[in-house]
Amino acid sequence: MSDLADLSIDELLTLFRTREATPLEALNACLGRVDRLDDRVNAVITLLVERATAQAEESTKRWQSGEARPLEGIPYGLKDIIETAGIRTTGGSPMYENYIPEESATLVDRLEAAGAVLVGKLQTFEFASGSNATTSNPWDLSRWPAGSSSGPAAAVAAHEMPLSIGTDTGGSIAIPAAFCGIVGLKATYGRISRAGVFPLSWTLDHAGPMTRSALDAAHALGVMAGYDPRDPTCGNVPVPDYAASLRTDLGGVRIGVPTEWFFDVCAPEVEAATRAAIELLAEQGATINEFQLPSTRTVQLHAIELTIVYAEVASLHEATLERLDEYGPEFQRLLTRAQFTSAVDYLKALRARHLVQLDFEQVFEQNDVVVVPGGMCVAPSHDHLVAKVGDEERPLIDVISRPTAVMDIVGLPAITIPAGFDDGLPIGVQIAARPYDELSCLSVAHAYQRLTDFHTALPPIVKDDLDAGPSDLSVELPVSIEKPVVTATRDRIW
Amino acid sequence: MTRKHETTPTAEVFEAIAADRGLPLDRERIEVALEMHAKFRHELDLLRSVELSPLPPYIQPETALRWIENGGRLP
Repeated sequence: MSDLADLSIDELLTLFRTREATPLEALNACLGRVDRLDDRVNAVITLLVERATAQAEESTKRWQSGEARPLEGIPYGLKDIIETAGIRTTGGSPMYENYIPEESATLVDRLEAAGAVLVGKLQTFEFASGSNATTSNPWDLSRWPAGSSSGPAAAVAAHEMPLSIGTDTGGSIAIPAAFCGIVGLKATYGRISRAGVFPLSWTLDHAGPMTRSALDAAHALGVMAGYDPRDPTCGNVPVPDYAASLRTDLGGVRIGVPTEWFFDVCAPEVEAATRAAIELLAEQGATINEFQLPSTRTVQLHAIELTIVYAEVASLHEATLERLDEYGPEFQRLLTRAQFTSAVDYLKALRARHLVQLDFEQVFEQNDVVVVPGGMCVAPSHDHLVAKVGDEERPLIDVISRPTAVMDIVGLPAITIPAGFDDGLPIGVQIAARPYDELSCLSVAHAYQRLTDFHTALPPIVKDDLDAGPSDLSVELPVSIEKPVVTATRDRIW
Repeated sequence: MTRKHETTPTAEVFEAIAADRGLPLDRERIEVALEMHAKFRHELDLLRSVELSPLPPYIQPETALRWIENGGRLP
């Protein structure tokens, strides 16, 4: 038996429309789930009970009066590097523990204008980097959820809310989505405004929705995407109605499968699940073409990623370097190393991005999408942050972003979806397309999810909660909860 | 082709850079930076060895942005 907290955005909108449920009931179901599970998952850093309740009451009235907006009454959460007017935005950092912005990020304004109900702010690694042990993976609480969109991934996986918003610089949406068994959409660079989002590395930072289905990601993207003069990198490109335009027929769709880079360092279980997903898509009429990425033989993608991040982090935090001791331990290490990045190396990395783009230009002349691994392994233990590849253990920082950072470097849209399990832990695959073609990513992902049920599997903690019987919606919560920022790690990646 | 580096930075080199920029980094932090730099050095050397032409049409950082904005092609 499920309750409203277990339903998708699409299902909730249908129930609101038919008056079988109200936004207030959906919010209470989500708050109940937070109340019962979040002491163990710890996805939420700031819970906004009173504010969300007022929003949900307004949404309930709008459905009754026929004035509902596109996401009217949908509960959601925000990674806590996304600014919210009048609501604490910590950046996951002790330095901003009490920072209350005067303005909201543009993407927040758009979600609120569409009627979405903000349940709370969600845990993140400090300034979207590092490896905090704060949040646990709902599939196994001893495991790391990945990050830096750790709270957004865990909150959606634990069915605390159907939608969260994350950001991605080297894999911070894709990897936690893969490890937590949910959908994460990193939109094209410039597709979603980053105005009001704490930067980690402005050249590589992207934002996107995290959900439990591709259809839900389409609903959210349609609201969030679009030109914003507040973000100088935001593209002025028309926004389609993604949810209404999704294809389910894979006939004629051309899928690229890499012969190098993506499977070179990859857990065998992940490779098998990725190839099984490709085979299933081919059985439905998609054509499969192998492709190469010659630039990856000479251009070090990891060096591009780290050099850009180092240089931009050092620049962004120059004014507060004197207060280095006030950052968490991992960010202190990152910021210290970042100081020794030369301008020539940084510019080489920025210029070398285009060499990789030229490879993908060739790839997309022959293909509509590419299908590659999401995470290159499954979630490691909090106490031992390594990537297990067969019998070998690799340092996480060396390999974890291998299949994902390339999407940030090139700027492609990429959706990560659940595609299997290894010993009870989720495996994710990525579907990427040419810039601004999120619709192809979403369509192939949606078609795949109509054929599979990996995305509807329940983490043990959610299953146990459901087995415990109908939830008590009369639970009394304080008007808001503000947890302290914790940057402690049990093992570190930097 | 990978350029050969005969030497790697020492603590004294990083301390000199830090002093030149007025960075508040003590010896312990310099050692952290050196350790992280050493782990990354091989990949950085490979990136440094990539040859990019100084002649038109040369690649600028902005080239990547134009490529994205134009849907995966240069205008």
